[in-house]
Amino acid sequence: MRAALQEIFVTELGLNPEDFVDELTYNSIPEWDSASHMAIILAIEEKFDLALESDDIVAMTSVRKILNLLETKGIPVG
Amino acid sequence: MVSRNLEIGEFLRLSFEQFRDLPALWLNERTISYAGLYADAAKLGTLILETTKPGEPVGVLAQRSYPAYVGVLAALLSGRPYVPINMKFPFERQVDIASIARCRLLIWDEQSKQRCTELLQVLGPAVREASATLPDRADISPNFHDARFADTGSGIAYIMFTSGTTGAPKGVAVRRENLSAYLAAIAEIAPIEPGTRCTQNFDLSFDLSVHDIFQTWASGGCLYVMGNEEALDPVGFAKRHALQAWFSVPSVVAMARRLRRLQPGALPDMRLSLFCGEPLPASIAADWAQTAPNTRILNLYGPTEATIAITAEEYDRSAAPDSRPATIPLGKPFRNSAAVVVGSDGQPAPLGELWLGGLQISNGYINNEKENQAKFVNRTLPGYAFDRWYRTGDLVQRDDRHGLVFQGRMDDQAKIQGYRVELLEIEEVLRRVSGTTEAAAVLWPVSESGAAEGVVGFVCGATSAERDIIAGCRTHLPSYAVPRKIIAVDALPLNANGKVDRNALRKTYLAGK
Repeated sequence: MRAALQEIFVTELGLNPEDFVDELTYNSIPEWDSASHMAIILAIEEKFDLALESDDIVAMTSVRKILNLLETKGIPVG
Repeated sequence: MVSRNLEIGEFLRLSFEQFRDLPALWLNERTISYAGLYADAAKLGTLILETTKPGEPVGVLAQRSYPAYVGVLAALLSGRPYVPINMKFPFERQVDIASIARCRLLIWDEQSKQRCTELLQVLGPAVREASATLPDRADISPNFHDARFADTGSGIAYIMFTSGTTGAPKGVAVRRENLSAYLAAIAEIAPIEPGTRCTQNFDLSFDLSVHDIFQTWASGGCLYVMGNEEALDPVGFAKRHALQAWFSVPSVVAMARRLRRLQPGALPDMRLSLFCGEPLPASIAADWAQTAPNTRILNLYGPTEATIAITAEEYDRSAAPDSRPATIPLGKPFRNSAAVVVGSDGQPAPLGELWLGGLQISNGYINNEKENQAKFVNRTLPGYAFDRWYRTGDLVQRDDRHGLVFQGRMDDQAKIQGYRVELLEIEEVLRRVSGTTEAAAVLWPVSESGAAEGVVGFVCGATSAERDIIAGCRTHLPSYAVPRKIIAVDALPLNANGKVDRNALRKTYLAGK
């Protein structure tokens, strides 16, 4: 799941793969703003076949938080 | 009711006095009254009067923070132009904006303090800095309290920077009387009552934020400012605070729809909803009408050069879906403004470029005579009292049934997520950072309703790697204008006019992806 999430970040934000780290947070870089956050959410929903709630969407403000949340939804980190 | 004929500074002072006990601003779980906000603006305003001369602009390097709103208000009431400098912009662009506008003072907040220091190092000792949260002082300048003493210099209210075709941003100088004319017109078309809870969705560097701030404060409303994380769910924020007036680009609603945030009846308190910045698809308006069953919905249209918005069309809830055009028309011009479709012969025509005239037409671009001459023309048009016109570059059809209908651009200007960008600027940056003379910027992806969500760069014979080109673009362009990917091609296809054929690039390399 980690590799898939990394691919989403690289595609949606135009990041270099090595910039994808657990500590990366929303709004800490210009590329991750409110508009691109929505693009990330939609890509996650599609990739993992999920329907995220608005509380989830607002809470997914770092790579670590996204990984943790996906884990609670039964998607194994790997 | 305070008279609309007053100078904007005097008008706002009287509004702040009239509504002194009402909430003016909601921010970080805290409400600030009109009296409290005015008192802080008076302290900062006195400092502005001490450190700047009439006409010298004040840069506001702050966003979604108390200093941002105090800074904007204090500058306007002090008679000084304000210049929003977006913290999300690259450093070089911030330097360009502060330099081109000739800012003499920068207002910072906690998030921008470090960046402010860095900017001052480049801008030199003539530029000062200030925080908007100042200790109380007894010597508030009488020039701040009494508009009759205010020397507004050039009479500029604010300078907004938009994308320029040559690679440098261009600053549009909007006069105080332009803003007064807009506020008077919008108060007629879309009035709000004192106490109305209003959204503030737009960044300060987007001129639609001027509507948010000053229509709200001219009317006794309360501006609700979303925090960074709340901005991820603007519809949820509106629901939680029972907001009553909404203003956004249609893309915000399109995104909320894709995230299933538009439940029928979710926003029963909403009374007025305005959309601007890009075409409003009828399907988005219909979904919004269901989400907010008690709201009026208006589509506004207008470029920054004509002060926020200059035409409006109300969405008719009762009309049969089949009878509506797929996109809500631009509608009719505001009072004291004119919108004329002009054909290639320079005369009014059913299809052609939209020209705008009247009290909202701004001074034009600062220090850019070439662009001013190209875009602002002095001309008498039969049947119209105005003799100075702004050429929008928008191709518009005059339709007996629907009024003015947008047909597309006549040049290479585009909207990405509602932000105005010049594809030529992106291409100029692409050439500069990729070491080639051949580059093209193509809008992609494009949503079902036709709104662009991003841009892709094409280069031919580049000497730099894709990641280096993107990194280079990031140092010059705002994030929404940075290409999401770079595609190297052997040759850029040309159309019949010998120009790069962006449609062919889109079809060949991006279709179906």
